[in-house]
Amino acid sequence: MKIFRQTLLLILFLIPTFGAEIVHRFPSDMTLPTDVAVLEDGRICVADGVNQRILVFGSSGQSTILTFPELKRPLGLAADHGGGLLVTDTKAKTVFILDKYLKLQVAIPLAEEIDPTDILAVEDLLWVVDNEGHRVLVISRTGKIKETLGKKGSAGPTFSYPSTISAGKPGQVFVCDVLNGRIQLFNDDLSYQGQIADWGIINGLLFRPKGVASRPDGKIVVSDSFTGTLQLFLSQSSPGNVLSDTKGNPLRFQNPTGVVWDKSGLLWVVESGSGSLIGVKVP
Amino acid sequence: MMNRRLLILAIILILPTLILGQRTRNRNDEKECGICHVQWSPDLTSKSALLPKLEASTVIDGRPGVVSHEQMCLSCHDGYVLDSREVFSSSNHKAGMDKGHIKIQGLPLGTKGQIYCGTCHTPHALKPNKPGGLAPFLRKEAVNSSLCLDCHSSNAKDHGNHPIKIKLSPGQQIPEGGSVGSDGTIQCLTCHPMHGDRPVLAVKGEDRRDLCISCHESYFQIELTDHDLPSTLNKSGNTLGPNLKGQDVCASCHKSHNGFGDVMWPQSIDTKAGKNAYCIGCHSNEGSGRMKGFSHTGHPVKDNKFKKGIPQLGIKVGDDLSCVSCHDPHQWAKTKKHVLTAANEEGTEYTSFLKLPDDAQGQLCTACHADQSSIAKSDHSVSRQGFQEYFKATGTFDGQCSVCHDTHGASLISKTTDLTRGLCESCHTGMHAQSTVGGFDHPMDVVLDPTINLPTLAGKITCVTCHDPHKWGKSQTASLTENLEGNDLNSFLRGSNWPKPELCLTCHSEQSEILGSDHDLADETHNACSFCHAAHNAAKPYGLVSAWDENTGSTMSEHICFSCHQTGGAAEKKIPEAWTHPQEYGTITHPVRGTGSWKDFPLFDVDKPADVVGFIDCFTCHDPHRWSFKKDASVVAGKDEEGGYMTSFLRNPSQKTLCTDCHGANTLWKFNYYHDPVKRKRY
Repeated sequence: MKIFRQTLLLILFLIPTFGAEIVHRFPSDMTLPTDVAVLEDGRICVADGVNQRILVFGSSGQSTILTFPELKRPLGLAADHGGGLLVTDTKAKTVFILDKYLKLQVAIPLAEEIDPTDILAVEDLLWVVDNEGHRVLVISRTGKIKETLGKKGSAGPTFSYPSTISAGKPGQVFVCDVLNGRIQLFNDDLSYQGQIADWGIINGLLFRPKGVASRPDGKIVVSDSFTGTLQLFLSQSSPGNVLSDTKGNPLRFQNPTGVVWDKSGLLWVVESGSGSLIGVKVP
Repeated sequence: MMNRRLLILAIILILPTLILGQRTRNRNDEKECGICHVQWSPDLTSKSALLPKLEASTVIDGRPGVVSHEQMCLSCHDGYVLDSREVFSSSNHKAGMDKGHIKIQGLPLGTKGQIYCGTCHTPHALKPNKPGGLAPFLRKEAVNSSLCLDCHSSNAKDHGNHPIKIKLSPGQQIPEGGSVGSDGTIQCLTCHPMHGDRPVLAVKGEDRRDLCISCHESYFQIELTDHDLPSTLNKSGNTLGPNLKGQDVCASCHKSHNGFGDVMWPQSIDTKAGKNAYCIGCHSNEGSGRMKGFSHTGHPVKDNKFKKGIPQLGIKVGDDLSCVSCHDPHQWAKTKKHVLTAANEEGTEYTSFLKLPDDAQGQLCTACHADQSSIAKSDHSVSRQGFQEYFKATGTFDGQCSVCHDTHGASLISKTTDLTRGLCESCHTGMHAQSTVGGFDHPMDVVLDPTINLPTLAGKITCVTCHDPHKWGKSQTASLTENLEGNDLNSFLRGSNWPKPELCLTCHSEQSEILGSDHDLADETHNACSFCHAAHNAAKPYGLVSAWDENTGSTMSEHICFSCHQTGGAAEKKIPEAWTHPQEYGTITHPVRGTGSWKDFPLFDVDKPADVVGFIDCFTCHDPHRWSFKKDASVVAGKDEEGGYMTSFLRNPSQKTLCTDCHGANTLWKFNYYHDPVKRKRY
């Protein structure tokens, strides 16, 4: 019976995830946008770093421009506690904390050698991905480095150009490890919890993972900017499958990067190549 | 049976997983190269391969070279391995762009001849941050623009293109985002970003102002001058020149590439005209600067090279004399206080794009003509009250040099018209200054012996034959002079004329024997000539000063001689007791007789020399300039030397006179009777 159950699960894992559907496509004049975050009030923010701005989309796709003098080349975004927004800027080498009105509250300058590509609020601390440093920094909201996580490598809790970071289940953090082709899992106490997927060019493997987002039901979506696909992992221990439409054809995107779930369970994908924000309904 | 079915099912389902696991084990080995060379992955043959449909730029080993596709590069350079978002969003050197007319040397192109990332970059070549490797993984070093020139060599040819490989001058700054070579020289990348949304840094539309000013700030004094054509033409409604609306101030005269001449001129030029071609192109009768058309008859502007450097004008030895020797087309006025309006302002000696002003010191002209600079402290200085009153009265203004010289007008050196004399007389006839000429003056328009090295007008004497209006004389003082009374030491005389009257003797050398004689009355301000002769304003003809006593004697000669040779006169010790000769007997002059020159035996009327028939007077027998007619005698008289029949300023020996014509054998008796009171008494 146990073998049967395991076999059945294996069948489920291997069956491509049919029925995914693009339900929104918000074109814009963004240039190679990168990350996306959903605010508490439902607005969706997209980093348009080349144009030194962040676009804030409403539910119908209309957008407003968010910018301020200190903003140079934003790359990573994350929703902050209290409805605010966190921004990492790779040119300004700064973390910006904005309130729920999207007013700049705090600018945290980082050391010149730090390459902040993404950020995540974990309780009172901020986890900042240091891309070129191949590590994750845990800093206070005043900028003081509390902990560092990882170093360059391919085994265990090491990284090769980590890109984005997002929250999983409570107390769990996912870090997208680009050139290792995987998602690394950590608990918020920095303990290493393993990895999702591995590097490769076939279904279930990741060639250039860029964004990772976890839904409350445990489903995890990872964007692969080179293959132009989204891989869905039913759980942390499940093999991935490329998201496909109702006919079983993989959904293809032009250089997908940042991904995020909204409260309604809709997946928002930054299609960097076309400069669009795309809403995907995932079964 | 059931277990067997499950076993088969498990094998079918698990086998791929096992295979997958095997591949995972080998994947680290594949990954080293496969991280980019995805086409080498054996997984590509799998139906589950996720390779996107890409039109490969190249073919590698017979297969599409996905590795070099822009998407492969972007998969890392999107900010998540390296942040090159601005590069990939640029239209400049964009992957897939057509190479157009460019001849690319030694760099690979895509399968359709297009430029792709791999045309310039390869991860297997230069590593990032290698000296000279401004961008990472370039196929060739970008030092000294070498990579750029592989394709754009035509934009780097000498002349017509902005120079590269030259050092920045102190104070020059390159535009933000630009870079210099490892040796600090200007490179293509100083102005042109390899990638970006525009091909040239700091350019807004067609306006290159911010780019050019970063290095050439000093040239931007041209703004709002008449040479600021985008402004002046626009302001004037532009009926003259090209449409330069929206372009920078440099655009009217300079193209960064493929221009003409060595200043990147925007239109073809007459190379035979040298540097002046740039100016003449506009300042001709048909050019946009025709309101200031170039018709040069004044200062020479070609066929001359500087034999010495003029630092204050930026001129080096060997430079050609040209318009820009004096003019800086970028700077309306040397002083920066000038308010400009781009309104075709009329120029002055302080403006007019002159490198230095022609002010009261004549700064501009004396930079080269330094030996003329003393004029500024002479009575010819424009600072003098007379000049100032003249300027005020005429509403004109001239600099120290331009008051007499029209640099772009007719030359003062003319073969037909004595412009110099006219210029002198414009002041020295009493109109604007105290008259110093106008009486009996040294004759002009007289043909001068061509062997004499003095300036003339077509070989004839004119003012500047004797005068150099730029130099007052040896008594020139450091302070400005005003209404100095001249004498033989100064008076703007061209040559030295005191104590020895060298200038006079240059032409009148036959009179030099007066020197040292009893008639040499030179003192501390007069030479031997000027006691009797004044070159200007003389009261009598022949430049004779009016110092003689007209109450003495009855003829011109007697007036002259008896002024001194009378009681109380300077020569009262030599008063002739008898001198008269009957005036009623007219005598024919030597020239008319055909027996010699007039000077052999000059005859006179009462008030002038006689040309044909005259009477004998003092100067008939006496030449006041020569103590003795014997040229070979050492007869330069000492002071107060007693004369004899061989001396005594006698003009000729008696046998050469006409006396015997009339007086026959009694000539000597008569001579003694008339000239020797002692002997007369004997008769």
